Amino acid sequence: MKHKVPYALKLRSFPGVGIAGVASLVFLYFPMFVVAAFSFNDGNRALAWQGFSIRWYERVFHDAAIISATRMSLIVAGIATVASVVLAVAYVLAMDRLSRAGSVLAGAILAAPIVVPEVVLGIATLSFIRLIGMTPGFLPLVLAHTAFCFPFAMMNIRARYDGLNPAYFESAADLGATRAALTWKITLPLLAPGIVSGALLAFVVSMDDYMISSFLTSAGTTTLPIYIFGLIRKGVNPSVNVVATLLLLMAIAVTVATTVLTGRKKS
Amino acid sequence: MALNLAQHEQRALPKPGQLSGWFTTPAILLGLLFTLGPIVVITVFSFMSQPANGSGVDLIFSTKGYEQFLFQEDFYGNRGFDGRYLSAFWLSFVQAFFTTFASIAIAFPVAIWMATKTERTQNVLLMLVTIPFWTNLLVRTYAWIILLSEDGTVNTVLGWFGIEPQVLLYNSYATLISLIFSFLPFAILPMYSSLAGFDFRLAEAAYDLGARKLDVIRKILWPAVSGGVLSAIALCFVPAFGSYLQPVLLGGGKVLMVGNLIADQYGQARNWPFGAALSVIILALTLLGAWALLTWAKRSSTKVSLAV
Amino acid sequence: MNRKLLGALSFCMALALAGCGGSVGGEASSEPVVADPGSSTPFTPVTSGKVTIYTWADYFPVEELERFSAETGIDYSIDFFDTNETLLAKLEANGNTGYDLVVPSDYVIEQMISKGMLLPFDAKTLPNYENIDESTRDPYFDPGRMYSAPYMYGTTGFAYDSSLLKDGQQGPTSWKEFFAWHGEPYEGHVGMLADLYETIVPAIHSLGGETCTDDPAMLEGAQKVLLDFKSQVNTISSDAVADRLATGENKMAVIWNGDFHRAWEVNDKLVYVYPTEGVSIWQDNWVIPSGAENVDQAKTFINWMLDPKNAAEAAEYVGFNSLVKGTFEYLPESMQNDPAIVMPEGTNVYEFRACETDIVNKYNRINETFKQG
Repeated sequence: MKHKVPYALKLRSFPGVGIAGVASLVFLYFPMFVVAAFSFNDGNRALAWQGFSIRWYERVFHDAAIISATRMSLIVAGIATVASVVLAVAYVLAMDRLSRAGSVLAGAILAAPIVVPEVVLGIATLSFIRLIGMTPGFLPLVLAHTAFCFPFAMMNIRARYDGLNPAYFESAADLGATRAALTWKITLPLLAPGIVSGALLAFVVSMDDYMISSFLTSAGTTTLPIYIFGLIRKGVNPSVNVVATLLLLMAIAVTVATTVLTGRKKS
Repeated sequence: MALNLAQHEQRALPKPGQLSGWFTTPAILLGLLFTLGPIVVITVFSFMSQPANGSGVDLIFSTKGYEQFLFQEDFYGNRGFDGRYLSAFWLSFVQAFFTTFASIAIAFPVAIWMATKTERTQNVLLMLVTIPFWTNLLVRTYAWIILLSEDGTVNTVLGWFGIEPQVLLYNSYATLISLIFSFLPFAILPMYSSLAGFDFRLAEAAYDLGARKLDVIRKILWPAVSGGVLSAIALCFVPAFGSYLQPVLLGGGKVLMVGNLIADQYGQARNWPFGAALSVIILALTLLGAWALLTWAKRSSTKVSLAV
Repeated sequence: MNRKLLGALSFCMALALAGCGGSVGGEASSEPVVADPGSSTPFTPVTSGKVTIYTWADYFPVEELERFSAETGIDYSIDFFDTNETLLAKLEANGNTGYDLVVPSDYVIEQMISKGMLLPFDAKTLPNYENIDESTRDPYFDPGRMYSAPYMYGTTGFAYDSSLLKDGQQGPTSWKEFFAWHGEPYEGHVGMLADLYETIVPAIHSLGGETCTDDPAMLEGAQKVLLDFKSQVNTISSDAVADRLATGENKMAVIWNGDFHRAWEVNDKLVYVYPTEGVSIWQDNWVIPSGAENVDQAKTFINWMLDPKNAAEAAEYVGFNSLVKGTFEYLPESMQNDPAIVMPEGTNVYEFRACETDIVNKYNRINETFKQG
């Protein structure tokens, strides 16, 4: 429950919090703003402003390496998102049937990717796939992404599921709906906002990953973060400014979409 | 979207649309294979020996991976204690500590500011804090190269005041500031969410009754926000401790933290058992930290959640 | 159900680990494809398929790859590494598969051959073999050129921006003077390579030692030299070294001569120094990993790169000299006349050699201490 607090009261009680708040937002946004601004810089490398131009956008949209890395990232993120969401829906709808110990254990294992440092997960996965006789490449990449996207998809779907009102179902059951029909026709549609926001977050998490992927890629499976990491190591680069700006836009779009979707739950 | 560290206290009532328990199998299988499996394997690998020359492990038991962490031969062949890897852990600890401390210190007033706004404003602010959270970490780190370069934004601004360009990049301070930048939202979000339901009239009433400002903060606000602080510690400290991108991109090859030390063992240094041993040490520390947090939370009956 | 699953998993693990004395990952695993000497096939130029290349960052012009693709009909993909050791680690982790062409340096090729990581394709079967400079047809690391064909060669000296020196100030001329440099105008702006040998070996030579020395006093001395020098260092990185020197981010740097040349084209006040104690001379080569899928495409590519015109295009881009005969005539005058590219007569050089493993381990420690210190 949120309380409306009269403006005057807040000011008197906590002077300075407004300054801290605005300063923090500036701190969080200024660096990204600078990058976005320089993505429109006409200069070749120079950090000095040399006039407005969209030529680096044209360059990036025609850069075969960036395009193929982006395509690879989209494919991996797409498959990992669909797979992790499908698994997460099945898991959420059935997890209450597990024994208490089982559900605690399963929950801990499945949530581990959030807590374990990425570099550890990366080398651990590499060690594991080599042990079972796989070599780095597309399949291990997709499987690993699915595993670490899963908790993000699952949390959203579960939050939605926990918030469902049983009243909807009683009436449906009263009207003689079978269990399968109940799941397909009523539960899943009601879960939809959670599924979509879970999918969006899983997608972003997959698109974001550098560390784990770096141990699992091979020729032809270079993802976008791996490619831009290579560019960044060389220093300031106008193409990276453009890609960074586009990724920022993606984050904005996903956040707004998620807010809208989860916001609807309350009303 | 909250993941309770302390598992839900009561069993949920039978839920509508429930499926048979078997439907959890695929997810559990995935978790066993690609989360638990790798962790088990790396633990096993940490007790194996390094092949004569190169990557991988020979499946022969050895504790050399762990010994290497503390003991080395010097140039004269004498075996002795060697603190260099410990100092990489220490540097990681210091960096993670300051990252967490600064993030929480900044997040505290910000969380109060957000929580005292109208609901509509709160939603907008929440969104503004969430956007950086979901922006690619690589490009957020890259942004600091642009800011801190010798001909970068900060030096340009300093130049307007006639100040000579400073060397700001490629040191542990650059790494630290980008770590704070990266993890600040991880502190603001849980601290805000634990304050979002707080009735600020309590603080107001305390003032009216003549409480000092510090007492209000310590006795009224802090207990309310402490659950969020615990979450913030968990969410900032662990990833900062194991960070790789920030020291590599902003440290100029001179800032050696545990994350890049481990990555190096599976890269250039090609010493898998040592890399595995370092990972197990990190995992053990993480578990220990989580356990300490949970114990503390239980004792002070604070609800901790990894609110995302 | 969970207990059963856990049981099944631990059973699988036990099975996998049962073969004690086996190994996982790396070259000795049962999985990686190991070369069978004499498995090379005669050269058959191909006009389709693709080739995957793994090379040093910024070490091949992408435009030329596109031309190769257009001329031969072979598609390509290219990835980059920053050190020889990273290349080794990635290939070992991949079980020698994934890449069709990689570009290691001389001393690494010797190791890769001995570990069975390379495919013996026999450069002598390539139509353009005759273009390989006679001096390098029988190199120490690959006698008879069974496994490799040359790409570029060069030296690793150091460079500084002479325009910053005050009146009467002299730039360093030896490794000894380089590491002794403290203060203006280079303080805090020195670039070092993130390369084991290129860091330790100069320090050893500055003390009058030899490349693979294991003399404890010498090693301790080298470590001290490096640690004392640390305060002057800005970056330890093998990425974009030309760029850093050209833009002034580094004002003095250990650098490859080709990268120096590219920086010099931006700032002609830069000076390349062949240190009096000696300069390391190295050679990078095209090799085919034993697990390569597209061997004929890879050989077609190598043969194509042994054409002087094609070699010259790459050489002009990277600023290094090629070991393909006839390339030099195609190079621009600025390269032909640059003493950094054409080494003056009588320059003191030392060839790169891989040191013994336990010496390398000691070098690694010095390097880690240097990075950390």
